[in-house]
Amino acid sequence: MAVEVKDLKKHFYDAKRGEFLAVDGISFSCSQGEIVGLLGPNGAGKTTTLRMIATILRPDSGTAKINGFEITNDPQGVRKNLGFLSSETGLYERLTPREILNYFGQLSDYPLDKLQQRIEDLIKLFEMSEFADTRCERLSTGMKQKVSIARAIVHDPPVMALDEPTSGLDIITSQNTYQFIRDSKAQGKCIIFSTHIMSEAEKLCDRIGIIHKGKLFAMGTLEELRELTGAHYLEDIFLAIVKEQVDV
Amino acid sequence: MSSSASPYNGKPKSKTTIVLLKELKEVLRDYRTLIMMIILPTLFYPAMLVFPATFAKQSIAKLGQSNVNVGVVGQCEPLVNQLKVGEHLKVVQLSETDYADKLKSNDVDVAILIPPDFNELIEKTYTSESDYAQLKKAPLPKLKLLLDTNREKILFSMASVYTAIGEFQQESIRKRLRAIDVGNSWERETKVKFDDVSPKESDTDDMLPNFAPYLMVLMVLLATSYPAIDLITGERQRGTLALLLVAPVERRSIMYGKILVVVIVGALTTILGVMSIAATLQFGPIKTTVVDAQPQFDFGLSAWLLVLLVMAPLVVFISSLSVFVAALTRTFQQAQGYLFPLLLVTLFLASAAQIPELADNSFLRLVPVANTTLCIKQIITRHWSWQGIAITFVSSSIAALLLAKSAANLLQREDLLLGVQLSPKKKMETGSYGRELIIFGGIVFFMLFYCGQLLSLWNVLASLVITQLFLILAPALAFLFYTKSPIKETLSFKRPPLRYVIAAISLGFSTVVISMLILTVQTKFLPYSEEYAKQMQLMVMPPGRPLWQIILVAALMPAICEEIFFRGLLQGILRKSLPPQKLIIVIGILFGVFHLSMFRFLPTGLLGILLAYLTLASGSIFPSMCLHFMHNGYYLAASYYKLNLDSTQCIALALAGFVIAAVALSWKPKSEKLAPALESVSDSDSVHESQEK
Repeated sequence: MAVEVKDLKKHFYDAKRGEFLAVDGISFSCSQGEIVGLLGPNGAGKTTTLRMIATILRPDSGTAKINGFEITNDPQGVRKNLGFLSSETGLYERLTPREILNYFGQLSDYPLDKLQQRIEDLIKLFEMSEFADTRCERLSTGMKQKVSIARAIVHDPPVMALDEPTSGLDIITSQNTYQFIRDSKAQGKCIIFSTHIMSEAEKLCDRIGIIHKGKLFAMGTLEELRELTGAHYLEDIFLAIVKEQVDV
Repeated sequence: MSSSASPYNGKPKSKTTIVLLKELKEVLRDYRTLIMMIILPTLFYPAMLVFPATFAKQSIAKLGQSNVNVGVVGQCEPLVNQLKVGEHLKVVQLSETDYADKLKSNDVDVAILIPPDFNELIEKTYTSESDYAQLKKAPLPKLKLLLDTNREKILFSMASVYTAIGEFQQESIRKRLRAIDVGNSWERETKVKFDDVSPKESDTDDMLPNFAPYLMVLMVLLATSYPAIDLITGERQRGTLALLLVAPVERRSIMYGKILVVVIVGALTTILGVMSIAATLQFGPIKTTVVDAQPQFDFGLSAWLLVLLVMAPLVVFISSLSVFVAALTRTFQQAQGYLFPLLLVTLFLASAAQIPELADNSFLRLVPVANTTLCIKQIITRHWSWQGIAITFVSSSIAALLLAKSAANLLQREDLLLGVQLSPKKKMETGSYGRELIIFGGIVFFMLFYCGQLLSLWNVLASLVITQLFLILAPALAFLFYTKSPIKETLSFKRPPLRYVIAAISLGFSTVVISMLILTVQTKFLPYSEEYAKQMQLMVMPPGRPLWQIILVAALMPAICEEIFFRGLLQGILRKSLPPQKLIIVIGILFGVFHLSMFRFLPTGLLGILLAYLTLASGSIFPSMCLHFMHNGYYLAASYYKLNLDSTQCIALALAGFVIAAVALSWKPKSEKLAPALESVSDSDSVHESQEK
């Protein structure tokens, strides 16, 4: 398994709710060439889960292994094997795409003698040659999204964690992202991505996990989830699962 | 390696270097930083230093040259003649009835009222004895000057009027002296001529030493705060920080890279600023010559290099401070909100250079920013010493590096990174009161520094009581209540094992002797002024008070209040987040700093370490209270009876005390189990104690 998540827990605190479990014992796995989607409303714990997998946050308990590296013991190993992209991540406005790719390539220990070739390949792949040397502050949203994706995979990681990668993007830019996710799957990468958009999960994911209030209620292929709930559309499936669990 | 023509060939750079180069590139592409870094220091700051002075001088000169209309009411020809030859004076004769109106309408600037009997009193010559007897009774000749002091023009022009009146007085005295015929030897009077004694120089002399250090601190702070916010808060707000966090880089390397960039910006600004200020003073409209009886060197290149030298640690300090503050904030607005108090506090510290000699300002040498501005001022006025510069440089460097280190650790904290909040329960468990402690410590420190000093001018004994109760004990209790900490547990109010009490009591005298020995050695390297010795003597021995009162106030109260503050509150909170060795050293250093004197830092710091150890090892605050009381008590008694502490008997007694303490502490009853964490402390401390010996 490229990714194994085991019983992750994370407490948060705010004045209103007091101390609460933002992530409450989530476990799942994802293998090479597979796309796993974490589906849930805002505040369900998707982002926190992905952040713990990406070593941005430390879990209170539980663990995850990325390509064999453990997130708390060997965060550097995890980071070398992981590409991370989220709707909130931005770009350095005063640097050009080429400089950004160069920077993260160097930081990620990508072999220096191959880095320039890798950057050229990425520029070609994402059709960025026209603006590769323009400062990011002058780029359009679509161009920026391309740079962000290229940045996430400049070190060619086997695992990708994408946190609502299309939120805030228009249809065409979103399509580019979908295409990138499919291409990555074809290359045998392991992709975990979170979303609250049902159709996105339906279209892309091999398996879908339903997350609500920090808990992973169900996980399986769309077919499996349909069987489980008797509902056809993902929206209904989601509501059925969440309602059932909340009622209990 | 050689096959590729890529410029990125060769040895991979360290991660810090990669971060540094990228940040530097980004910073240099930001025009706002460039303005702060290049334009302001090269053009604005020198202008700020020079133009107000030039302008003020020019307008004063101009005002001094404008004509003054002098209205004379009454008759006195010699006076009027003097006024007429006076510089820029125009004399008009006025009558009793119209001078008030003329003055009001500004037709005349000054009115001189000459009483009717004035001439008679002035003209009369005194030659005989009976004349002198009359003279004693006679009223003095009086002139009355009327002018509106709110009119600046007049104030600057009055010199000519006064000169004329002065000349007139001298002339009339001369006349009278001639009349009694005492020869003319007295005529070698001082001729006072108002020549230009270069007000230019005296103005800069005033401004430069006081204003330049201030300006330099402001310059570094303004230049570093923007890039610091941009590099950290900006990165967070733009969502690029997460990218760095998932790159295989140590978070500390990221921070060091960023701090270094800010330091580079600050250093460039400083070099440019100092160079251009120096150039302006050298070649600009104002030539500066600092008047001093014994010049140690020419005020020139070497002085400016010295300024740069003492500013080097300041640049690191302020850069780290800016980064530190930036790391605490999540948005630009918040960062700007934090920047203002930061600016206030820093400039407040910087203003220390303007304080005239305090009773014991040796302490300022240890305060970052304040020591540097003091040093720069001394360099400019040539009152500097290598000792002062060395202490400033070393203490600022230590402060700067500590600050840089703690700033570098801030990216480890999830609460700052992603706004994850800690619950009060967890906060208590982990002792994460960093922010509260800094604010609290700062307030207490400033109160002690200012109120304490002011109070001691009023009444020594009362000021000790007030300081102990209201500036030390009360804030400590307030903090405990604010954080809702469990009082007994935090303050280590617990029955101590007997052997710690024995050790504490037996160490009381030994620590006094050791402190005296340390001070004796220290004075060889760091001699203190007589003024300071007198102050100290006064503080521990207020005249006319019985010993029991002094012991009550200066031994018992500190033993309770200061122990509750340091070994109780601070140690109780910090022990949750610091390993034992670090904890006792930090408590010791804080205790040393608290005594607000460079001379007392070493002995009190070491005592603080010992006290902190006793509390930590025994799990109770009472042994340290005991030792603190014994220490102060013996010291006061020794001063009271003028006991010679470095006599052989005293040293023997001190050694005996150590032996008893060592025996008591090494005796471990089987029933009592020492916490494993403390085992290592007792080892390290025995080393420390032997060093003390």
